[in-house]
Amino acid sequence: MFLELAEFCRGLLSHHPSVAMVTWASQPALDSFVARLRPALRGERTDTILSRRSAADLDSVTVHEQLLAGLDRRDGSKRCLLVYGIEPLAPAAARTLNGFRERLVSLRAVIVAIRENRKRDFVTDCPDLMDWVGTSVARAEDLAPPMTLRDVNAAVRRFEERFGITSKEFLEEWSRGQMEATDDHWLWNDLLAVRAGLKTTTKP
Amino acid sequence: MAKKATTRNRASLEAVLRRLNPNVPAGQTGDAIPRIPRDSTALRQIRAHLGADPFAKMLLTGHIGVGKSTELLHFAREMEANRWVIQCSVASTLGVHNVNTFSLLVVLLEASIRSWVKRLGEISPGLVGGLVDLVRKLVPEETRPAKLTPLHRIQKELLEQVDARALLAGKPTLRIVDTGWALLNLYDEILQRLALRSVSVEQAGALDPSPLALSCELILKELENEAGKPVLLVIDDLDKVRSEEARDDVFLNRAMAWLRLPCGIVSTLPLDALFSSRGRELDEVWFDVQVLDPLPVPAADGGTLDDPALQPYLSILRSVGAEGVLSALQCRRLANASSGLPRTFVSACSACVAYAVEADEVHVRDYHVDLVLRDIADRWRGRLDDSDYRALIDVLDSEGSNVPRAISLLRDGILVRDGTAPPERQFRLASWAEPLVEAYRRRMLRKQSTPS
Repeated sequence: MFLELAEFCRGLLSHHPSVAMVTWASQPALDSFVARLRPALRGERTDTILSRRSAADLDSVTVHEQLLAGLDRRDGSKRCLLVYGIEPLAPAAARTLNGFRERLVSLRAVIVAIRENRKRDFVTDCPDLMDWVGTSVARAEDLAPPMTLRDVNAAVRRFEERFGITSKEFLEEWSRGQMEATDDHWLWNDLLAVRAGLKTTTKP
Repeated sequence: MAKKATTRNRASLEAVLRRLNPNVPAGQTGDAIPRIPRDSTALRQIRAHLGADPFAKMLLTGHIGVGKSTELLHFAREMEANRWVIQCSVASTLGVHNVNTFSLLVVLLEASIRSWVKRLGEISPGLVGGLVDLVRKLVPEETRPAKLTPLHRIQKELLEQVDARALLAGKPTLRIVDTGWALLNLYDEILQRLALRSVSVEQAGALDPSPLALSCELILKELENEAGKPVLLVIDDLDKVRSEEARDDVFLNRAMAWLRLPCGIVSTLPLDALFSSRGRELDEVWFDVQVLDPLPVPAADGGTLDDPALQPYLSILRSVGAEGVLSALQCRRLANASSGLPRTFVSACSACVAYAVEADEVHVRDYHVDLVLRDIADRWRGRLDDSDYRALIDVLDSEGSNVPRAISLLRDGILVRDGTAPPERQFRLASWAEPLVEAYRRRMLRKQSTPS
């Protein structure tokens, strides 16, 4: 069981093919984990690219195509695929990942994040995949303690000071593709998403 | 000097960690764990049957992580001298969750064509033409509905690529698909569409596989002539078929489609198929079904270094240079927890070494083993509910009579079948599951004894 994100990433990248599972109980913990994962992976292997596949807006047919698209990437040997938001489609996602288990070899690593109360529904349908997971299981609450709104605001302010632009200006340029896709810019974008989520959940 | 020693120790532990890779079949690559020779009745029988009959069709089953891929890989390499071996991967192409008889034959056909063009060179134009003609028959003209289904559209589109270009070129007889490589690309395209579910699994499953079976027969016969030796298809990942419907379709209802192929076949089979309601039919349909049993399991404590049950596990550690990293007692504890499944053992050893690396230790400590054993149990804790515990107890108390109740638990390795044990003890719990089941029994006893 991993208690630190850096240790988790080291374990994940220590052999290949590699699959890990992260469970979560609170949304802020998941958001914090997702936001911190990219720099943590790059800290272990600098050429690692993080691809994220959220199945939140998909149905049981398109989740299949999206997952398959995530597995078939030309630069797959550098890619770590994070699959999350699959709770409504846990059995379908499990069957797809299980059925394409050997295709995961094309990627550097795969992480599946699932809410704790849907874990059983997921693992029941992917026993072969779970065999590859082994003991590479962690909790988002342990790896990346939830960030408070205050933490996120402070981090965003630091980026604004460092780059000399407001977050609004950053988002405009980012969404137009005018910003270079550096780790810092990705993290800034993730922090803004986390902040939006926290503001929504803390509204009276 | 101490700093250098620490750096050297960490480097050597990391080297061991890299080699202790549980997710690669032993012996597959130079970096993988070497295969440890295994005294297996299953593989001996398969070898014997195929030696006597090159067209024998055999099934190999066993628990997840028991070593089927390792043994099949070794077996395929052994057979290369006398057979044209084609290794078919369903998971890498179609996806095992998409499999049915129709799509399986596409996989076999694609693998056969690929094997020919890559190892023997081009396929004769006549044979290519014959196989392309059979593509037309995938969905016969007279059965095509007015409104085309996705498969009809694919077939039409693929064949129009052939005919439209030929017409544009003013040569109606010229086909774009006129070489082995073009034919391979055609079937790769079909496989990709099936994998993407452009045609649903249900639609593909309802199709007549005869044209594909005929195509397979045609190419396999020609391949045997061309190669100068009988063909052997080795299919490693059909044990991952989870759908009961797909399993019955492939291994029973329409098994004849691939049983009649003019080649030897060794394929894996899901273990739970043997204990399903139609399990007995497998023996009637297939030549032979063999079970690869788990390795012997040493007791968690006691015993000596010479314990025969411990030797395979010590061999694994020696083969990756880990004999100075884990002690024999630690090896014994991890082997016991693995329930005889090599992948679980290697995964547990790997986790122990990873803990040691993180702690800057020179070797694995006992508390690292304790942590890993706890991690193994924790991983499954949420998987089991009260109905699972009741099913497990039912199987154990009935000495294996009520296995169908616990089929998914057998499949997942929570319940372990050991064919080498006496009949009344053939089914046992995975070592890490024993305390969980005991805790459940105690909980039930307390509940019963508590006055309502």
